Amino acid sequence: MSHDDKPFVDQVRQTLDRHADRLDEMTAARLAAARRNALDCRPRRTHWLPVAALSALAASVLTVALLLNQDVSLPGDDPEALELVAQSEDLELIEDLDFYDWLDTTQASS
Amino acid sequence: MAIEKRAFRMAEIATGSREDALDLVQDAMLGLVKSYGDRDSADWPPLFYRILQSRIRDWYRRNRVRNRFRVWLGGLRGDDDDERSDAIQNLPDRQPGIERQLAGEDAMVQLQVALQELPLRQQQAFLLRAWEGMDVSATAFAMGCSEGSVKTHYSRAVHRLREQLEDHWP
Repeated sequence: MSHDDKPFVDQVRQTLDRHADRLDEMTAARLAAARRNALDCRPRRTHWLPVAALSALAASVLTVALLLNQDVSLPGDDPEALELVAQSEDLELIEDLDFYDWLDTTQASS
Repeated sequence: MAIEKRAFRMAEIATGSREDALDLVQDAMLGLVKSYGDRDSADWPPLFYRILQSRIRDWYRRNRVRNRFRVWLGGLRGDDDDERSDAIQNLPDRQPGIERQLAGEDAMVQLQVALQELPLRQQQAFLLRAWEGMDVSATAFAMGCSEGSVKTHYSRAVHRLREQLEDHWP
């Protein structure tokens, strides 16, 4: 736009703005409804990238948790287990538990 | 001002019909969200105007064919005295509603008439550049032509409008 044209173009723009502002209510309402209708037709896009990233992260966390919870330690790592192994009498008691249970039942009935 | 109001007025100036203008704007809106709904909303105005201008050009082509057919049909009938045979009379009434609405606003009526008398490409280039405020590049994208063509159309449009409107806006 040349410098000489600017006042003319500005005046045309203002005139057109006034003209558009005076749009009757019915037409303005129909235009607004058309806009809403168009936006309602907007396709809902699934953002697969974040979903895939979250799924991969969750799978990684689950895998690590399962690996960490696997009991691959030796009995010597656990002090209570070590104590149980060391006390041979207690182990014998556990092994003969059925016998003591029978004995208790027999004595109670006699 | 909402973009759809300006778009509607542009379509109305181009077609001379309120209903056709509404249909064109609505169609352009639907086309925009269906094809480019996933784009950032900042990209929408040039895309919207590109679709709208394309629809207006299609409307022009259809109407031109229709009017030629009417004239040809009138010639076949040979009823020269019949009003229907007059090609000028057969043209659609350009702006009855608007002219009534703007009675007394001579400047606006003159502008409306002058814009409607411009060739379509000049009219589009002028309205997109001068009213919508698009730069040459965006206007070329919306019109689907080169930047050089936009400059030529715009320059000719301004020249013709100034000639016709000099009595109102010297």
